[in-house]
Amino acid sequence: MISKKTSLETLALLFTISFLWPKPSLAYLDPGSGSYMIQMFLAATVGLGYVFRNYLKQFKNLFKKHDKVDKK
Amino acid sequence: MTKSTKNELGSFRDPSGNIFYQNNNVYRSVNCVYQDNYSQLINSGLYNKLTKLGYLVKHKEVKNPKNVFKVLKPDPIPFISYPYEWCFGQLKAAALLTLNIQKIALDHDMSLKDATAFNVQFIGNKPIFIDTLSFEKYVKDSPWVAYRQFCQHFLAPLSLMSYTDVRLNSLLSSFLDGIPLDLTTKLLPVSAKIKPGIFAHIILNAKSQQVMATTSQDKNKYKVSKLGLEGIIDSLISTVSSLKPKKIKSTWGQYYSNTNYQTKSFDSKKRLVLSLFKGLSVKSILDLGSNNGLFSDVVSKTGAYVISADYDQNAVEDNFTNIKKDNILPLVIDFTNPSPNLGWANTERKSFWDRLNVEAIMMLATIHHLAIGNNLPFDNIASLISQHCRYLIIEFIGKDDSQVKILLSQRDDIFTDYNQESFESEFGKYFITIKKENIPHSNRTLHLMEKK
Repeated sequence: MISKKTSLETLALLFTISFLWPKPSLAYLDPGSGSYMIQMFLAATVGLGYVFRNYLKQFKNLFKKHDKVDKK
Repeated sequence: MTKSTKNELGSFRDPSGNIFYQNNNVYRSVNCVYQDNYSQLINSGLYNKLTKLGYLVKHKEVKNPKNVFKVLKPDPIPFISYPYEWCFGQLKAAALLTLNIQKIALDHDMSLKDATAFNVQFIGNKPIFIDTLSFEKYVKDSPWVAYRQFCQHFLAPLSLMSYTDVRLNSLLSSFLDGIPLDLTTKLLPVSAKIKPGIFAHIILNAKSQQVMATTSQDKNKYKVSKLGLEGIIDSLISTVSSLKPKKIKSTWGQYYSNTNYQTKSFDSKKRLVLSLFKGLSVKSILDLGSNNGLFSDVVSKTGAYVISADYDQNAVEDNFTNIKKDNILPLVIDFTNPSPNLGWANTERKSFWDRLNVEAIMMLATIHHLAIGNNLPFDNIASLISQHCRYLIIEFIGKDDSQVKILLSQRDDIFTDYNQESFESEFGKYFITIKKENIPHSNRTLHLMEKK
C-alpha cells in the first residue's frame, strides 16, 4: 500500500519534471505577462538574497573603513 | 529629407526614432514622442556616466533638426556585426554590458525598454551599446519590460553554447528575436536545468510564458520593487558570469600548434605579409580564414581595422580571448555559407558581403580549404573576392604541401586543375599580380594582387 507521504513525494516529483519538459508555446496573446509573473516570484526569492548580500557587503565595508582609519 | 538621405531598413520597430544615412554619415532621429525620455537620459547624468565608461556610443546633436525633436550623429562603428557572427565570449561580453547598463540606468531612475543583442556592437574587442533611444523613465514598482527579451537574446544562446554545443549560436540567425525559451528548455541537458540561475530564468520563465499565454491579464497588477528588480539583474549577472563555452573537438582550433610549418617559416611569413601591407597603406582589411587571429595581429600593426573571420568557433574564441586589440574584430563566419539577408522583407539584417566595405582581403592558408575542402573552382573564388576589395594578398599552397595532403588523404583527387598555373590564370582574369614571393623554407607562394 502506498503511503500518503509517498504519493505527495511522487506528485512533487512529477510537478518538477513537468517544468523540465514544457510543451511548445502557442501564444496568441502577448506572452510578456508571463515574464512579469515570473519576475514577481523571482524578486521575492533572489531579491532576498540580494538584500542579504548587500547588507553583508556594507557590514564588511564598515570594517574596511575602520581598518584604514586605524592605520592612519 | 534630402535626396541623398537613405533610411536604415532595419530601423522601424521603435517609434522613438530611426537611423538614416546621409553623405556616408550615420544619423539617428529622435521623435517628439521620446522627448521626455531623452531629456532624462541627458539631464540625469546617465548619458555622461555611460559614455565615460565606454558603455554607450557617444553622439553629437545636429543643429536645427527639421520635423523631429533631435537629430543625433553617433560616433561611427567600423563594421556592423550580428550576434550569430559572435563567438561565446563576445555574446557573454555583450550580455554583461547590457546588464551593467541596466543596473546603472536604474540608479538614474531609467530602465532599458529593450534588450536585444542587436543593440550591442563591437569596436575591435570591446562591446559598446549603440541604441541611445533604448532608455525609458523607470516607473516605480514596475517589472523589467525587456526581461524576457534579454533571456531569449543572451541567456538562452549562452546556456546552449555552454551546456549543449557551442555551435548553437547559429540558432540566433533563425530566431532573430532570440531563441524561444521552450525550445531552449528542450535542448538543454538536465545538468544545466538544475543550475539555479538557468532553472529560474529559463525553465521557470518558459513555463510561465506558457501558463500566461492563453490568459488575459492586467499587466499593471504585477509589482516588482526596485530592490527586487536589482536582485533579478544581480542574479542574471552571476548566472551569465558563471557560463563557460563548451569546448568541441575542431579541426582548425589548434591549427598553428599542430603544424610543423610555423617553426620553419612563420617568422619569414609574418615579415613578408607585414611588408606587403605596409606598402599599401590600407585602412581596412578582411582576414578571410583568420584561424586564431595570429596574422590579423601582425597586419593590425599597420593601424588598419582588421575583420578577423573564421568558421571555427574554438579558433575565434581564442582570437577574442587572447588578442584583445581595439582594431581587430574577431567573427565567426563560414565563407561557404556566410550570413544572408534576413528579417522583414529580407532587408532587416544585411548579408555579410553587403555590409563589407574593405580595401584589402587577406587569404592566408585558405585557398586549399575552399578549392579542395569545398570543391569551389578558382574562378568562383576570384570572382567573388574581386567584388569586395581593391587589394588581395593570397597564399597559394600546392598539392605537395603537408596540409593539402591531409585534405586529400580521405578522398579521391578530382582536382586536376588545382595547381599554381591554373590558380594564377583564373585569378588573373580579375586581378593583376603586383608581387609574387616564395615563403622561405616552404613550397608556398604569397601573391599581392590588385583588382583590374
